[in-house]
Amino acid sequence: MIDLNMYPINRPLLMVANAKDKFDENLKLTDEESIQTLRDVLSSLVDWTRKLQR
Amino acid sequence: MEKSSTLTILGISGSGRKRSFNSALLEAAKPLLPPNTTLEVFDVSRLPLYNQDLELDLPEVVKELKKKIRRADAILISTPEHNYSITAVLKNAIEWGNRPPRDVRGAANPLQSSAPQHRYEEEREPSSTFDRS
Repeated sequence: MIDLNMYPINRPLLMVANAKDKFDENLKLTDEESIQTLRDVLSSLVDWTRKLQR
Repeated sequence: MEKSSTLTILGISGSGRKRSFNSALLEAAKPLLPPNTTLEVFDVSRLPLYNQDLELDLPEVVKELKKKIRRADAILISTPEHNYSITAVLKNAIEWGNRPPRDVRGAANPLQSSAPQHRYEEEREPSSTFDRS
């Protein structure tokens, strides 16, 4: 990653503990808190990517 | 305008398991994407184990991965934690990402498409249910 000169985003970080309780039987994510963090992760990733592309 | 251009995210799961929670997380991300953003997932568990000998004649699946990395604006990683670290599957994909040297980085502006951002999204499972298949 360093060799490729990548810019990792450290936060927000989504950690899904006890994953088996946070997905339904069809592997759909059902845990509201995880869904919100995932949304935050994606908006941070997109924001930073757009900033770095300027 | 930069803002309105479509941004491509490449999703990589550190698990090749059919019912992987990490692969499921990448699927869960799709409906949550900000506007003008797409997410495509590439299955890196199909990659051969990195070996420098293979660089002489790159396997098709490796070429495919590299093409997708070059096209991506950002990378989203979702990985289990194995032995306090990333999985072998993910590490292997990273080896292929930077070998042969300058293959992915290319001649383009390193701050543009060839320097995708990295993002860890980790999943921890209790060790009793750790499925390493």
